[in-house]
Amino acid sequence: MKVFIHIGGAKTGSTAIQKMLFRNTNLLLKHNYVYHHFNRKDSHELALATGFGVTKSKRLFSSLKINQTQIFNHLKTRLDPTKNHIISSEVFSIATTKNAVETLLGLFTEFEVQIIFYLRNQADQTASAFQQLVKEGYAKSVEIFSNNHKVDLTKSLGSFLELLSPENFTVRPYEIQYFENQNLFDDFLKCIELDGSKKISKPSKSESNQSLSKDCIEVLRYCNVKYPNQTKKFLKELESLKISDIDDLQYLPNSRKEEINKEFSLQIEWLSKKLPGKISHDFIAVEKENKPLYEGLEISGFSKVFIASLNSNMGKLKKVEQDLENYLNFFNIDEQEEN
Amino acid sequence: MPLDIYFHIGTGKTGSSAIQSFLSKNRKTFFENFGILYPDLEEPYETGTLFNHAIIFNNDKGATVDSFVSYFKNCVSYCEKHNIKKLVFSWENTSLRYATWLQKAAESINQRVKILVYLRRQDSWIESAWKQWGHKHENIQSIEKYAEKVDMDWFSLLNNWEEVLTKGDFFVKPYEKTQIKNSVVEDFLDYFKIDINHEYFKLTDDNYKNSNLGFKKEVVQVLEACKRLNTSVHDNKLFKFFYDNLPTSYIKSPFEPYYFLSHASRLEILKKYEDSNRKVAEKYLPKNNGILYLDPVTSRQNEADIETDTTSLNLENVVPILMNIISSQNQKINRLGILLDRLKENAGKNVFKIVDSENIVLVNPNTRVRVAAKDPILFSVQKGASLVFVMPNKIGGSFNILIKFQSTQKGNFKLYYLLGSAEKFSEANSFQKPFNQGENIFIFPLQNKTLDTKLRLDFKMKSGEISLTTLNINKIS
Repeated sequence: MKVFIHIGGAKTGSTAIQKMLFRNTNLLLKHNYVYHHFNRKDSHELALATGFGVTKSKRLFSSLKINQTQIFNHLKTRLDPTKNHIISSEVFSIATTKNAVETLLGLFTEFEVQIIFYLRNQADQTASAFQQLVKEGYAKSVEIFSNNHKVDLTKSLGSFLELLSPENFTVRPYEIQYFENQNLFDDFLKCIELDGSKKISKPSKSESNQSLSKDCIEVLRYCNVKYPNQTKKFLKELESLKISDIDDLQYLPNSRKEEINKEFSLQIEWLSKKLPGKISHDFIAVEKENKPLYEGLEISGFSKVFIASLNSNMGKLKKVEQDLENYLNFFNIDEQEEN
Repeated sequence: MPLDIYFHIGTGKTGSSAIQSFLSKNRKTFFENFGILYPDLEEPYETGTLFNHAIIFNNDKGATVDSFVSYFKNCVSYCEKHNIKKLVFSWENTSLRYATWLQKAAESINQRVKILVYLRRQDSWIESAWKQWGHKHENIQSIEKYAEKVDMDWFSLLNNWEEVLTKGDFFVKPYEKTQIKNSVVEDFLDYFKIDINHEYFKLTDDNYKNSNLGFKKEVVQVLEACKRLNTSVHDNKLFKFFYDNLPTSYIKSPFEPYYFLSHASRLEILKKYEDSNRKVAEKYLPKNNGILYLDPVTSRQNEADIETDTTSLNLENVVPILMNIISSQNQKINRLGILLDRLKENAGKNVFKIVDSENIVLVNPNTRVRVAAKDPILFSVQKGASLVFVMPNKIGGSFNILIKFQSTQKGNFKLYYLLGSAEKFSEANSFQKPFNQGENIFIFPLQNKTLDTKLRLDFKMKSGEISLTTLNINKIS
C-alpha cells in the first residue's frame, strides 16, 4: 500500500486541497484511503508538522492545544497496513530538518512513499506569499519583502531527496493550464491515483483562502504598521467587504520578476538533475503578457475601501434600526419625536 | 478663621479640565472632609455636577456682574453658615472683563481673594492651543502664523490683571513636567495641603470632557484637514468623535510634546518671550533665580528624525486612523445588534400581539408564528412564567375578561392590566386566583375603565405546562 505525503509548496493551493480531503474523509475511506487530519479542520497541517519536530515554536503549541507526542501517537496507532494513507502539510517544505523527515518516513516503512510537491512560478509565489504574510501581520513593502524572500528548493526538498529515490516523487507545476482538467483538485486526485472518483466534492472558490484586493492588502499593511496585534480584526472586516481586484495588476516590476525567475531557473536545473525526467521547462512558466504594475495605495483606492467599509457599517446599522423599529411597532410604542 | 477664597483662572491649556473634573466629581468629599466648597449653581452647593464656573460669567446665558456678585455672596454666606473655610471657583479665562467681575466680588465682601494661575511655556502652549483652537481657523494655515497672532506675554497679562484686580493675591505655577511632577491635579491639591491619594476621593471618568487630552500629531493633521466641519474654534464635537473612536495609542499624554514646531520656530518664540518669562519668575517665584521654566527645549527626541517629524499628512498615517474609526463603529453596531437580540430574547419571549381581534389571531415578535384562536398557546412553566398580550387598540367602557386554560399542575396566577396611560404593571391593577390541574375558566369584570393595549398573565407553579385556549375581552353593552 502507499502513503501520499503532500508537502506543499507554500502558496500552491494546499489549504484548498486540505479542505477537499477533510470534506471527503469518509468517501476516501470507501476508496481505501485514510486521510489523517487529527479531527482538525483548521491548522492540522501545523499540528502535523509540529508533531514531527519541524517547528518547536512554543507559541504554536499553545495555540494548537495539542502536543508532539499526542500527534505522533495519533498517527502511529492509525496506520492500517491494508489501506493507503494521505497526509498533507505545506509546513514540511518550509522548515524541514533531516531528523524530522527521518522520523516521518520511519513511520511508513511498510508503505511505498510518494511525495507530492507543487512548484509555482517564483515571481507569482513571491507576490502571493507577500499577501499571505500581510494577512498575518507583515508590515513592510512588497519591494522589501521580495528582496528578502527566497524560495530555496534545496532546503524545501533536500532532506526528502536525500532519504528517498526519484521514483518516490511527484512534482507538479502549479499552473492552471497544466492541471488535470485545468483543475487543481482533479490534478491532486490524479497524483494520489484517484482520478476516476467523480463523487469527490470540491470546495468552491470562495471557500479557499479568501483573496483580498491589492488595495485592501495595502490598507491592512498600513494598519499592521501601527497595530501589529490587531491584524485579525482588520482582516475580518476587510474580507467581509468582498472587494476584488478589477484590474489585473502585478506587484513586482518586470525587472525584479526576471531576476527572481533567473534564480529560480538555476534551482530548477538543480532539481532536474536530482529527479531526472520529472522536471520540464513548464515549471518556469513565463508570463504570457506583462501586466501593468500596481503602484501602491492611492487616494482613489483607499476611498473605495473606506466607502465600502462605511457602506457595510451603514447596512448593518440599517438592519439594527429596522429590527428595533419593527419591535417598537409590535409593542405599539411610538418613537419619540426628535427635538 | 476667615474664609479663604480662591479663583483658579487657568490659563487655558494647563490641565484645567482635569482639575475641574476632579473638583466636581469629589464636590461632596471636599465639603464634608476638607471644609472646601467647590460650589454648584444652586443650594445645596456641595451637591450637583457643575463642571466649572463658566456659566456664572457667561453673558450669552444671561449672566451679569450683579448676578455673579449675588451668586458669589450667597456662596460666601453658605460657607459661613456651614463652617467652611475655603471657597474655590474655577474657570480658565484671562479676559480683563473676568478680572473686573472678580474685583467687584471681592469688593462686595471687602476681602482679598487668591488667584491661582498656571503658565505654560509659550512653545508648548502654542502647540497645545494649535490642537485646541488654532488649526480650526479658516484663514490661518500654519502654527507659525498662529503664534504670530497670539499674545503669550504672561508678565504683561498678570500685570494687567493686577491693575484691575487690586484685591487679588496672585499665586503662579509654571505648567511643565519638571515642576508639576506627577499630575496637575495633585499639584493643585498641594495648594490646600491635600493628598490626592486620600481614600475618599473618586477618580474621574475617562472621557474627553474630563481630560481634554491631546492627540498624536497625525490625528491633529486629520482634524486640520477637516477644519470646515467645525462651527467655531470652540466646537469640540470632532475631538469627542476621535476620542471615542480611536485607541488610546493615538491619545497624547499630558506632558508629551507634539513637535508641531520646527526647532528654529521654537527658539524664536522662546526668544520673543524670554524677557517676559524672566520678569514673571523674578516677581512671583523669587526662589527660582529669574528662571521660570526648567524643562529642556527639545524639538524631537532624535534630530535624525527631522524628516519624519515634518512630514505632512499622508496615506500611511491616515489609513490606520480612519480604519480604526470604521472598526470602532463596526464593533459598536455589532454590540447594538447583540443588545437588541438580548432584548428580544427577554422581552419578547412570551409576548403575543392580537393582530386580528375578530378571529383572535396572535403573533409573537421573535418567532413571528401566528396563532389562531383555535390553536392553544402551549408553554412550559418553571416556577413562574409571564405571558404578555398586546392588543391593537385601547378599550373603554365595561367588559369581562374571559380566560380558559388547561394545566398539568395546580398553582396560582395573576392577571395584570394597564389603565389609561400607565406604563408599568402594578399589584393595584391585577386579579389573583389559584387554579387546579385540568381545565380552568375565569371571568374578570372591569367597569367603566379604559384598558390600555397590554395584558399580562403570570403563572406560578413548581413546574408543568399551561395550554391557554381562550382569552376574550367582551364588552358589556
